[in-house]
Amino acid sequence: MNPMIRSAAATLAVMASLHAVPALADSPPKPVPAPKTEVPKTLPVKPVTKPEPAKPVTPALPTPIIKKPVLNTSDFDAEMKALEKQTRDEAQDREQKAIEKSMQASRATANQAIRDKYQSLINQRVVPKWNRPLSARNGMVTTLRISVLPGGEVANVVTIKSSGDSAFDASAEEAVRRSSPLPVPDDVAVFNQYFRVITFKFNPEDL
Amino acid sequence: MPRLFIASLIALFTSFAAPAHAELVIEITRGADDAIPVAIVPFGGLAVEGADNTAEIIRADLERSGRFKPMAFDKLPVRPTSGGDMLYNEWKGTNANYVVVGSVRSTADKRYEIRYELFSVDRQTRLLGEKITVAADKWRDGAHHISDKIFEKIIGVKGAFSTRILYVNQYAQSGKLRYRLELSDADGQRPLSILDSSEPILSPTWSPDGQKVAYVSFENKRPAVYTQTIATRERKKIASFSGLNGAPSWSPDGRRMALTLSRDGNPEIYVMDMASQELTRMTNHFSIDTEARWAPDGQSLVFTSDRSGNAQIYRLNVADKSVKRLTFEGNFNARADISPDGRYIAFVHREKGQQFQIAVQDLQNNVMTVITQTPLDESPSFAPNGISLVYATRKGKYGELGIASVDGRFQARLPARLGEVREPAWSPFLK
Repeated sequence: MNPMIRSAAATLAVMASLHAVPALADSPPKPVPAPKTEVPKTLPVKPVTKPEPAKPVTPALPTPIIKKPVLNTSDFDAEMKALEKQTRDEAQDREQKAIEKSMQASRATANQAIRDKYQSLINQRVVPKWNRPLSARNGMVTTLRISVLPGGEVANVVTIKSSGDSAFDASAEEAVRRSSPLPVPDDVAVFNQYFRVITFKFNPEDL
Repeated sequence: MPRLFIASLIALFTSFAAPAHAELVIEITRGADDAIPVAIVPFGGLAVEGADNTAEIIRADLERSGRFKPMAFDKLPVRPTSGGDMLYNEWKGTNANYVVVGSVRSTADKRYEIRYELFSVDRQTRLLGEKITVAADKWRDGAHHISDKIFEKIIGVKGAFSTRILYVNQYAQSGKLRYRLELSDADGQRPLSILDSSEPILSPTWSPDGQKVAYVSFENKRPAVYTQTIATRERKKIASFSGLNGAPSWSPDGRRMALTLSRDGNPEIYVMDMASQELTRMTNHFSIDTEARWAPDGQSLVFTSDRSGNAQIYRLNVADKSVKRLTFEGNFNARADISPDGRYIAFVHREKGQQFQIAVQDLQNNVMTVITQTPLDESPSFAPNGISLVYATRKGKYGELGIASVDGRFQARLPARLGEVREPAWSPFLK
């Protein structure tokens, strides 16, 4: 009997954890009712109390659980407690992991917010430095790849796509170089993730 | 099996939480287009007569274009005269984006040898380096040539510093008014008179090759249209019909001349075939039609007509002679010139109760912008590179030519002349 219960409970725990993963916030309540509902089913005593085997099985369930310990061994009781503890521990563990994960997620969100902020700051710094040649036309595109040092100094500029107009390309490169040092975040992790290499697309729309 | 499923779920989650190191892309869709700070270092070498002003001429040229903001000479941190002395770090503290250095020396055959170099401070590269030799009396041309090269390299459009401006100067001599037709450099220097008359000279204009001019002269007490070759001063009378003979404009191919004639009654636009002198009447309206200018493609003319009740600018299709009104703002719009790319017209504009100012209209969207603030501005004429225009204005008893950028953000003055300066016409690019 015991091994059976154990293996059944273990399976349930796994199943519960399976459900728990995708729904981080819902995980704690689920494993708790799971063993309670199932455990009584394995007990043969149940039908004795209520001869009517029809539907009202579920409401009747709590009652047998309270009665049984008196009838049965404390062995089982201990087993149950151990199981419950284990389940609880696992749930706590999952909860902990979920919190860590959500912290990671919120950290990632925070980093993205920093990235977006500096992305817009860089844009604001470069726009007023861009003096376009008279040959510039809407639709021309020059793409530059910039390597940036911590602190924002522009270390290197490579034209990866030319507009075909050399004065236009030159004006884009000079705008970036003249904007050095670029505003970049102090946070080393964020800087390394997003700002070591930046792609600039110069693409006038207001001419 | 479920473990694998979980693993893949976790993998999915992780990839959401920390996206791959996607490279940051910053898109720049606007610019400032301010005047570009540039340092022109006084040229070194032998201080030959006048030649030590080379840097000053270049500085003034670039400044007058409105596209550059040259540093004052006394603000220069160092004064290198050749690329060998150029240290980029010495310019980092200034706001100069570019540095021009050079030197002048006279050669054994009494010519000037001018060397110059252009550097980008930001890119730390030499963009131009050239040695030119000019006749001793042409050193200004050498300086304008350098301005042209610098302008084109940075601005992407051909410089118009080596061009000339044609205008009429009305002056007093022994209490009598006289008129002379003059040519000056685009900076107003070296004025040269090619005709001097006791009778009015009007509507001077250039041939498309820049070798000839055409104008109206009253020298025989009534108006006639002449052409004149600049180099030889040779003149030819091409129109002296009864009534008005006015407002000549050469077609872009140089073969035809648009004119205003009143030989058939009231002033109308005609086109004359220059080879056969044959006339084709282009307009037929009881009001005044005058001041025709060819569009650069030769397919249409813009002209002034008061057919609506007051002067407005119209476009005339040369092929089918159909007419379309272009200007609608203000109660006076006249004397239009078309930009070399055909996109803009510049004209004399007056709002009700206001004075005459120069306006530019973008023919793509018909937005009109008044670009001058002085009263009595007249006769706008586009530079051949289309970035600015010259117009006549007045200041007391002095006549002046003004230069304005097409967007009106920049204005400059050419040296004033005693008397009036009227009807400037900017030359095409000259060989």
